[in-house]
Amino acid sequence: MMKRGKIGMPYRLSEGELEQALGRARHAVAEIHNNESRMRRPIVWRWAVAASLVIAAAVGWAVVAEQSVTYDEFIAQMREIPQDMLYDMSVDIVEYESDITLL
Amino acid sequence: MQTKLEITQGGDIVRLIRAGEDRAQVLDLIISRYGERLYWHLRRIVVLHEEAEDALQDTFVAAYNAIGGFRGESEGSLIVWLYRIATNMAIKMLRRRRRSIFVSIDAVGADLLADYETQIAPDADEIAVRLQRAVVALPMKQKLVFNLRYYDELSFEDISQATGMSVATLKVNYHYAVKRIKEQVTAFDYDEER
Repeated sequence: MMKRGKIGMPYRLSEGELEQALGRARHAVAEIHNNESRMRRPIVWRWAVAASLVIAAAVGWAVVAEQSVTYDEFIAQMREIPQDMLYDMSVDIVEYESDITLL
Repeated sequence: MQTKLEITQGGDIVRLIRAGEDRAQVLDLIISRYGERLYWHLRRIVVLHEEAEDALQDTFVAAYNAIGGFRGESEGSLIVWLYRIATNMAIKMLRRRRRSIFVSIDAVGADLLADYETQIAPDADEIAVRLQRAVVALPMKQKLVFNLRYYDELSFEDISQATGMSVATLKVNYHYAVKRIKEQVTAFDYDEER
């Protein structure tokens, strides 16, 4: 980097010593970078597990919500059943009303 | 868009930093481009190769940790930023060599001169040996400004940013450094003639 005619450096520096110094610096940076990546990994895993649990819970809730019926819907469905069939089954809707809870 | 190879051949590292490129890769490019320059800057301050090597490593590790906060717009500001880190590392290293925390950093001057005599290459140019002996003997502020101006060819404004000293202070220190070096080299000539 020095201009022509500029007085140079009188220091002793054997062949390869400068490259070794640069290599050491590179190695130190790479090592810190790798350590950082390694330390960041468990955090990524934790986030991945948490996200999976949330997704699973949401899917489960959607499935249950899809399959469940409200009290009114249940009563309406029961009323659609032909009366004779209801009679055959000896089902008295009124008796069951108190047992049915909303899902 | 420049490729990584084009960038290593003289392209814009600052753009890579701004683009949030992988820090380790950016540092690799910085080491390739400025490593040698910074090594010599450090060596001129700490004198011993082993210490320059340690300070160089600390410089790049510090640069790696701080590069996210680099706000410069140009390659020039990146160089000045690197010089600032390197200078701080060298001074930190010399402070550790003091016998007491209450003495000035210039107190290690005698040790540095003694170290310098062990570091001269057998085939070194005599003028270079004399000049560097005079530089090593300078007080730290004068040494810094002389090295950064003469060897690294930074402007006083850039040196001001790299050292935290005002331009006026730097110019005064440079003036005294040059005067002192001339005296030292001349005194050496006189001694030899006798």
